Amino acid sequence: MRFLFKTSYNQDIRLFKDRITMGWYLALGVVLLVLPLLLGEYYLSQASFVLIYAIVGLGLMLLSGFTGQISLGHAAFLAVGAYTEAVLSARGVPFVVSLPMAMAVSAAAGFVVGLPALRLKGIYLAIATLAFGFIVEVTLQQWESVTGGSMGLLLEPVTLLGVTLDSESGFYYLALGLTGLTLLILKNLLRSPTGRAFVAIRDSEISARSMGIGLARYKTLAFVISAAITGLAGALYAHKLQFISPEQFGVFVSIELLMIIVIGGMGSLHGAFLGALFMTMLPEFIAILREYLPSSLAYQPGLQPTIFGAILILFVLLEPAGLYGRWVKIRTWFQLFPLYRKGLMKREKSYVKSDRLS
Amino acid sequence: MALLTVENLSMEFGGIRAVDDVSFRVGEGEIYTIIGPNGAGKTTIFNMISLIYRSSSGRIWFDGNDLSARKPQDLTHLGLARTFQNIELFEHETVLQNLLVGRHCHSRTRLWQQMLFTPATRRAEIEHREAVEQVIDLLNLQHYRDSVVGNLPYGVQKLIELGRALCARPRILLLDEPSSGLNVEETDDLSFWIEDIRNLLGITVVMIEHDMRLVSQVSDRVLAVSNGRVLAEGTAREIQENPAVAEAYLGTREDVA
Repeated sequence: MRFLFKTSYNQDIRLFKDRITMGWYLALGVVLLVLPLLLGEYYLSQASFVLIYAIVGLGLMLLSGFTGQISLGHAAFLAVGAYTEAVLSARGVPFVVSLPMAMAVSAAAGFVVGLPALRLKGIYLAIATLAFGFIVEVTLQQWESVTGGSMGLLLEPVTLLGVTLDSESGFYYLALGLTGLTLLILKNLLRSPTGRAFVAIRDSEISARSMGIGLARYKTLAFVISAAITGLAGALYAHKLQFISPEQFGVFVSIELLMIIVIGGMGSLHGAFLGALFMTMLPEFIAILREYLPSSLAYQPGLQPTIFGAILILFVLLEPAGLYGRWVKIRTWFQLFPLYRKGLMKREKSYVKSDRLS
Repeated sequence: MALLTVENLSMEFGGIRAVDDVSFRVGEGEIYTIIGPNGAGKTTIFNMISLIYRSSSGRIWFDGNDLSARKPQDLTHLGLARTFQNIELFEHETVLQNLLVGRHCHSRTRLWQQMLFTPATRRAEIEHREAVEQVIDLLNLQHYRDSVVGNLPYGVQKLIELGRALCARPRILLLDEPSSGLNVEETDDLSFWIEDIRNLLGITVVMIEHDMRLVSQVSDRVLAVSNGRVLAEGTAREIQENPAVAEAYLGTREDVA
């Protein structure tokens, strides 16, 4: 195990823990940059989906993983972003303008949903956001003059500053750049007072308040930022599919988005990426699995949701810290070898908090 | 001029008068202790001062500000910080992160500056860190700096909560049963720290406490309450010798007979 001897406060706030960690991330960055040379069209397209899901995962992670506000309606923010982008780009608004607009409209929706969130907690907030998801879905179906109803809308490939990104790799680099930017901004937020305020609200509202953190301001802010990021992903999603319709943003999608962060690992930015990767690969695995299953079972329409549900349950029961938590355990095992003992990561005790005041 | 003035404070929950017409003043630089049997309304008084409860009637003045027009999150900005009877820490975070939250009221950087982590943000973060390190040095928490709070012993968690309140650099500190759950040795340490907080940092301390040894060691004045009413106010010795206080804790001879 390496120990780091710290000699300046800067060492605690920089992005990478040390040079070795930085080297690993640089290597990962290089791999991601040359990925279009290594992968075929299909797998590159899947990689773009991983990035889009990772952006949503980051947005939802900020809200649920770091601020502790559960959202079961996040597909609605994705929809708001996607439809805003579709409508604006159809009217010839350039991408550099329509993308921020999509984020802004989504952020406005986040602000509206954030208002009741100030009074609701836990399961009640989940139901409120679920209802918001339904409202948006129905609105998209009914408001035919703008959204095209269940017929959906068609989109052109992204044209960025005069260059049309109609190739798979062009879109991939756009998604990669925006993912990197989102990650950097979130990472910056989380190492500054606002990020600490979010985490404080998650762990104890009452003491967050008495440390001077206004709940209304920061909960709304978390919703707004999360919705804006999800709206960004929505705009990308719309261009990636080049066709959007209300069914793509239903409740099941919201649950899938929640699965990204639960399976990835709540409360870690790594988790958003691991979860996105897992959730994109899972349908592929199920497709492979189908070949080995008896045909009566393999083509049941409920197969995929059942497997998704089973995996979610297994994660919640067996590895609540998600894939990232599992990775940390494996890493620690190697670092401490042969001294790792079972239950090392378990919390020893948790003291009962007073619920009277909250 | 008193730093904290509580005037005719009352609190009713339904038909129960938890606090009934309580008044007291705490001067700058004082260590002021509130004692009383369980259910006397001590914590309710604290919750009213820290605006978690809105008082049914009465007023609270802090440094010339009427607190009834304020919100709980304004208090650290005014210079009033508190701890809780049952620990309320951010338990998934490290000690350092917990203490840095205490600096929240001193953060001046704007959201966009934080998003881009501009040099101004970096400078502010290092300033916060320096302030936090002073508290870590005062309370001897160096060893725990990077530990996750939830895994630490109860006594240390109590101390971190005290530290977090100190990080806000308040003018007045409200401590709700700082010694509960601590062993004799830790309680002794605590009494020195409370004196240091007042003598070295110049912070006025108001605390709720049951441990009479600690109370008589550090308190300048003591307020005894029972059933929501003030029984007596005076030095620790005067309070211990007060027949009304003894009666509230132990009952009268007639009760026994």
